Amino acid sequence: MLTTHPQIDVTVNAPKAGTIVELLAQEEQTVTVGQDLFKIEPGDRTSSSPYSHM
Amino acid sequence: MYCVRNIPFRPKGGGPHPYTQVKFSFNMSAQRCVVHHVIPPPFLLSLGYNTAAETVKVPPMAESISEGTLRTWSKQVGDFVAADEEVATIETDKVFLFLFNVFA
Repeated sequence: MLTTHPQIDVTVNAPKAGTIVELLAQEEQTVTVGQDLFKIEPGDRTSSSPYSHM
Repeated sequence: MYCVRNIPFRPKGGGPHPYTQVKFSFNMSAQRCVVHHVIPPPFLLSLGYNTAAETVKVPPMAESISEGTLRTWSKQVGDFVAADEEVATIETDKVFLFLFNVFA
């Protein structure tokens, strides 16, 4: 019970497939739960938008 | 004759995107440019085909842990990510975890 627990890494995964459009935090920066972390534009691999052929 | 995109259709500063896509055409008879706002049909939106960028927030990490240190970005701007693919790694504070263990 009193053993020191190693630091636990929490990974943040993409909610859906898409392209990263903006990173809203720097590495080594302290981040809080609920804080905006990055922006993703949903889409498949070949195009960032299903409407890009228009 | 062609239409020149001269109106800002994506708000600066990453604000909410009012329209997912804008299409331009040229009306020959009226001799003017026409801007079409293409909004995805609801069934596509429900399948996740919303082309507007969405913001991902820092997820809840564990009970009593409200913050951590962003260790690495696995992806950079412009990178494609598959669904559920790792984008960032957040390192939690050892001290908080120690206290958490005591009360567990």
